Amino acid sequence: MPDLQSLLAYTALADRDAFGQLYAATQNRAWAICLRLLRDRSFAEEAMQDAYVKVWHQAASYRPALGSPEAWISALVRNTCLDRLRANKREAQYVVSLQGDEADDPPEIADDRTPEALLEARLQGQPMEDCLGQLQPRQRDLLAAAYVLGQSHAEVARERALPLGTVKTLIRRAVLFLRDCLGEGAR
Amino acid sequence: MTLPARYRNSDLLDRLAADWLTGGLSPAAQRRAQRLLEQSPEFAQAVQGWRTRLDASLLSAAQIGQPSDSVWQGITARLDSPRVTQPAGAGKSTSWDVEAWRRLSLWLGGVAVAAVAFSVVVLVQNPEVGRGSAAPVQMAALMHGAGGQAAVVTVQNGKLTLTAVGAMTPPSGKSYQLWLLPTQGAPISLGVVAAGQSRYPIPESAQSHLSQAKAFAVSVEPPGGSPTGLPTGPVIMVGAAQRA
Repeated sequence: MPDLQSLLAYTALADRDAFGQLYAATQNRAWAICLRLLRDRSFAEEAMQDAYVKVWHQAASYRPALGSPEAWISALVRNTCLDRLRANKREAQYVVSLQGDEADDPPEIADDRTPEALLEARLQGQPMEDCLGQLQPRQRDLLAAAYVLGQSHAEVARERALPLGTVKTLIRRAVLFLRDCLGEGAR
Repeated sequence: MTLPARYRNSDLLDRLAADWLTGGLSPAAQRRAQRLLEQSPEFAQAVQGWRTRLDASLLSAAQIGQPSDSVWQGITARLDSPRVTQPAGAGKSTSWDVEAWRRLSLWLGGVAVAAVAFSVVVLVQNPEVGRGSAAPVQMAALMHGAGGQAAVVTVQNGKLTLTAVGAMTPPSGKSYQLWLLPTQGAPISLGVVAAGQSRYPIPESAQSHLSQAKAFAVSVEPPGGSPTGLPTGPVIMVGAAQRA
């Protein structure tokens, strides 16, 4: 992982190369966030554009005291997606049916593999994924919300209307389970 | 600095790393973890280990795909667009941003400079100053910051003057550093800002880039300036360069 603080500082100074490196280094998480929240590839891509244009314009407002650069970008991406989600909410059903009719914009992923399904699909195959697959679905969901979206336990609990203690327990048990499941050899 | 004994317990460091990455730390604990990251290679290794594992499973491009290239192309096209529209629902930023200083460059020569006329040196080409055939570069920049900070940089007769509008005191344990942003390439240090000093020599490394300066900026750096020779901390002021 390159030094994101430096890349953000350069971005604040309008360095397009640094911004490109920043995008390359953070796009996977941003993409996972957008897919998870918007559940639609084209919406997710539009939100990615909005979010990174904001990163460009707001890079100088980043303060290390507020958290890591990655957390700052994740929060900006998340908020952008949530803005778009709210804006689209009333039209959601219409948009979904329209999406299915878009013959000239074939999805790069199979129709039956929704972003959620794709996120779940990771649970097959690799050692880490085997271990994740052994977690309860709710634990997996909470872990992904915390890690992918960068949410605190309190935020995860608030969004799902779950007691904070329950969320803490489930995520920490998930983490401990993963550690035991993976063992030292997985490091 | 010696770390407390508990921070040498590898099991605790591993749990702390996992907890940090999965939202289990309070904001204060996150700040402590951030400091620990810089002090403890073992903790840094634990964090990296967890990050690698979680990235591989939750953020793997093989599993969730990647945004198409058109996303990046769309972003750059919007940055290049002369009229950048804010996306729907976006709040209006109250802080300065890069677009702001670009716009600043359009009216820097007029209203803005007039507003701080007391601190702006009127630049007049002085033929006696030119040593050799190259005409001395003369320029000014009004730098603005989100917190209301403002300062004027002038380059005249091979000297640089930095005039702060109001107080310009760095946070405790930090230094302000002045940068030249060339038209192309990385920022070039013009030195650490010293309290009460307004005249600065222009470093050798910056001399040849003066004619290409498109902006000046001030960033917050460790005491004595950036250890990397490039800006590492937040940028608190930036302003487009105007030539005489």
